[in-house]
Amino acid sequence: MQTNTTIFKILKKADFLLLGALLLFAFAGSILLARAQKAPGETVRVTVDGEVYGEYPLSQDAEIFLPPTNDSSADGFHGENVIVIAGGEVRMREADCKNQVCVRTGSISRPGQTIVCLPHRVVVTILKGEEVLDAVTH
Amino acid sequence: MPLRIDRTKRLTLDAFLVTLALIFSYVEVLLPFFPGLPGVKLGLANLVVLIALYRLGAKDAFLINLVRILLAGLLFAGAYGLLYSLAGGIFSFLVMVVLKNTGHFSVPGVSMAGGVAHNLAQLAVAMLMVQNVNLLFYYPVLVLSGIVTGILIGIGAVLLSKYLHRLS
Ligand SMILES: [Zn+2]
Repeated sequence: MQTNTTIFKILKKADFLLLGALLLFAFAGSILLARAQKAPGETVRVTVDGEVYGEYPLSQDAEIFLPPTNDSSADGFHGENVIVIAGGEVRMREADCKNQVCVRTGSISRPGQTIVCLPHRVVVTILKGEEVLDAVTH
Repeated sequence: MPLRIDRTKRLTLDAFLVTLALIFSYVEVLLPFFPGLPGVKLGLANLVVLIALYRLGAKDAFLINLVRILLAGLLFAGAYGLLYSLAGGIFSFLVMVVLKNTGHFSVPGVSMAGGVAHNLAQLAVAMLMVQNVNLLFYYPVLVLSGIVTGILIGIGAVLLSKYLHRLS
């Protein structure tokens, strides 16, 4: 208990100001993003290395298999990914990447939501029908 | 206050802290803190970096951090993960040094800022690597997790530092 009181004693005013600012920053962002995500998603876009691999309707159940490739470019080897569209949701069912972050992300269904497999440079994004945030990049 | 110690002892301490940080990195590979959320980790290795920053100064802490990231990257992550953790590790370190030098922040406060900076730098790298702006949707989660883990790590560093002090 004695250590607890010393920890509270060492916290300074600037700590709380910074905490407040960061919370506000996160909160404002989540409100803006929640507004963008209100509309139901319509299209699933799969990109590999920043290039569109394919677009699929969210309403139609499908299984998308991205085979491993072994090109000689600097980007090198891309492993295997299995994307499943079912019941209006998309998830990464399987991937042979090292970190498995994409698989653990779970299901997504709203526009703008994204599953990323960073090791394989694979991105699964849900679009509103047309582009969501893509206008910013082009 | 940086400790006044001779060179050999300092090098031994540096090596000890790098080893400790590597062990922490490995523990995190085995046990993800928030499974399911990309990029969200407790940042246990930052515990060591914080202690080094306050005990040995910015130069030693930076070297310890860099060696730790390079070794952990080679051992557990591979080239893409190395880039990712370098961005997070270096940016959060710079933010922590700047905040520490202002003298207005406590250790948990400095660590909190470092945690948020770490996550945001990694998000930026991820956005560049996969060329997708939609990753921005993760930023509120990453800011919040950076706050929580940063404060926890900061408190941990205060406690561990006291324990190490008692040992020496
Ligand atoms: Zn993956």
